[in-house]
Amino acid sequence: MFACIYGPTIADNTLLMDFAYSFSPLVEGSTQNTVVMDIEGCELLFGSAYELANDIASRAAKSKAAGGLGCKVNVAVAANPDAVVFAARFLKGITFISPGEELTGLGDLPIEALLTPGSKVEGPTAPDQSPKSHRGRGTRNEKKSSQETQEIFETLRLWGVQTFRDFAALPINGVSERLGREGLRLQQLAAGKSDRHLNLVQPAPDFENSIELEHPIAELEPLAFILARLLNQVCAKLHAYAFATNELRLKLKLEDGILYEHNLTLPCPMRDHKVFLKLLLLNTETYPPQSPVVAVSIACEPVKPCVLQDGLFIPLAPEPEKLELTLARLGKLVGANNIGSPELIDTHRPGTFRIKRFALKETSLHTRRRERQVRNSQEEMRKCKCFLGFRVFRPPLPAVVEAARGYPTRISAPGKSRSVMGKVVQLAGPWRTSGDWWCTDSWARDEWDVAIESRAGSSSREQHTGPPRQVLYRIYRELNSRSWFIEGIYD
Amino acid sequence: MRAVLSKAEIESEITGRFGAAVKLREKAPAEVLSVGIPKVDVITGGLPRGAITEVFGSASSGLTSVMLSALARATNEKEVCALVDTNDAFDPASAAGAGIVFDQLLWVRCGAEGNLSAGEGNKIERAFKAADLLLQSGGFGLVALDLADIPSQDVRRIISSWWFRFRRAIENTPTALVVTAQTSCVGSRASLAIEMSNENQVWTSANDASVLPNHLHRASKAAALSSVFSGSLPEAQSAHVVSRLSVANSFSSISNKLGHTLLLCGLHLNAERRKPVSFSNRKVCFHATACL
Repeated sequence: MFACIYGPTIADNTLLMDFAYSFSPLVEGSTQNTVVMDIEGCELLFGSAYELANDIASRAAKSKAAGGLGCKVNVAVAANPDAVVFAARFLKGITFISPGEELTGLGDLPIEALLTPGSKVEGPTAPDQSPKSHRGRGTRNEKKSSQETQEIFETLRLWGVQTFRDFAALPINGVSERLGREGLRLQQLAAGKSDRHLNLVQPAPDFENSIELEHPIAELEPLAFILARLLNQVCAKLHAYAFATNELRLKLKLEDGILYEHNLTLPCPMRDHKVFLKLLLLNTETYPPQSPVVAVSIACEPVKPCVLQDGLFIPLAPEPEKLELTLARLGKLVGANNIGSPELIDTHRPGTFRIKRFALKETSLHTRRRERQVRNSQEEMRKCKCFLGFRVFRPPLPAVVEAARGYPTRISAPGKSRSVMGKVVQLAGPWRTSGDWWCTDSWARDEWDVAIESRAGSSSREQHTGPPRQVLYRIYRELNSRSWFIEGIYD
Repeated sequence: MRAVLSKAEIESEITGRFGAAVKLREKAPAEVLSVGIPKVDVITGGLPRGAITEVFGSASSGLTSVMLSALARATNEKEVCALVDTNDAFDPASAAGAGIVFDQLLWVRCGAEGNLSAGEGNKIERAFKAADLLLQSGGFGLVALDLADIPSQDVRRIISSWWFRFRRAIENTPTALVVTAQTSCVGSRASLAIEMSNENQVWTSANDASVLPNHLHRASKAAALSSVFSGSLPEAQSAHVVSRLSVANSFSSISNKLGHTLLLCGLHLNAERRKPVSFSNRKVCFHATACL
């Protein structure tokens, strides 16, 4: 059974829709001032269909503050969604049409009523949901159909057909032959025999969940229970709508009125509540709120889930969820700024780089092939060649350098963790570089590659007794401060 | 009675008495990752997956070169790799020169200045915890644990249960764990151990075309260098390299003995397979070219 509410004085259709949702979750609201709802199964809540219609009418008459519409509406109940629209729009008050009695109730309506907007709805797809490329074609078809309908009405007037009953009485074969498919559809509408599904309007899903606590929470463990519950509900909703999320927003209202916020940005969409919980807990552990929590709110941004399948011959990579957890744990261990992928910066300043967030790239097959080709060519170039590695001392090790005629002859750099001492046996340099002289942090230096002879062994005792060996260092002299530093070691 | 029985005789005796139940099964060859240095690959067979590889040697013995080469090879093969940098000594510029694909590399800086307690012991503890997290997470092709700057006495104090834990974590997984240190510390838990040593350095006069490698020939040095680095280094870095050479060339006419007329061309390095022990060829010498 279907029920229709028609409020001619209601300008805002959304208000009518919200009112209809208080009776049934299956609501069609494609025409102005009119909503149709499926009331099948509502008997347990509202009683019989007639009682429901009375309830709708009486509640609609109430003021908006009391949950009503503040005006009188027409309500109709019938077994046919089109018949119920005609009944609500053209019959005042409450109309109840028993199944199979549609023509009895609507037979006296003029055939011009068939031109009402509600009678044009066909099928479950709303016009605005159709793909853009088909929209132009749809408009042309609608215009053509409208012309055809006008012609049909002209013909019916010439035949002397005035009411639904007259039109329904015409033989089906004759109507089909003379008026075509559109004529047949209109006759089915007039006879109340049309059959279609409701074009349901789904309310926009709300992926937000919040809770206000009776007692403030000061510890992480009870907060974890609250977060788990909220996340579970949010993720269940994401799952129900076949969505995932790549951004999770946590808001904690603290006892002292401060709002603690944390946005969790994920490199790939996911919807595993356990992973979310661990990530949020790790973050809350790292950056704990300053006072007890009195309200918790979690919201997320729904996006389409990841659907790209890896190739068969692509090496295994860490699972995105596990990788995120590992990165969060590593961030807690060594600091969030100390993990990631290195990236060189296009500058002459030595030792300049930045660390960007480590994320696995999802590449299409075509991109993979192209990358492989590029890498193969680079690999060919480097084939059979090993490049000498360089280890950087961070920060550079201050050194005392003995020089003769400007050339380093002996280096001494005692330090707590590492010390470099020895005679320079071979050297290359100086390589003078400078830059950023237009800024406050300008730099200028002379670089040398030096081989230092020292004793083998890492302990101080061994360094004095072990056999001599040569170690390669890169040293430099800052021209501004005229100080020497050891930048690193060739290894 | 014969004092010495051959292995084949013992096996045939046992098989005859107990049947096929005690027949030794041939161990399936382990999957390996290439080191990226053909000569080292020949003596080692590559880095075994699901096992620990130890590379040890003194300073300037090529530990970092081998590690960077393995990382470069693995990242170019689209393997996701991780580097646990105990002492924050990783140099992105030389890594780019070695050909590492940074998008595939996770760099964990355990000794960075931002860390709350950067003491030696804390750094090692953090590095081992980080390596453990990475290995337990799974999915990494190569995890490199760099202990090369840690003094030998500290490395020797590492409790062996860590290595057992690591070996257990990567067993039957495609992950290869490479540990670089000044002295051997993994011991029997390593499936492959390579000892590195520095044979000699190669210093080449900037105007000595005969000694320079072909790609560093004086006439085409700048162009060659820029072409070598154009794939991996940004424009400014290659410009920096060329400027260093141009300084060298301008001074070369003064004297060959002056420091700035020389170039560090590279190192001759020795790699010796210490484990598994066999009588086949196990020592090799290769040249590591300096990224000028």
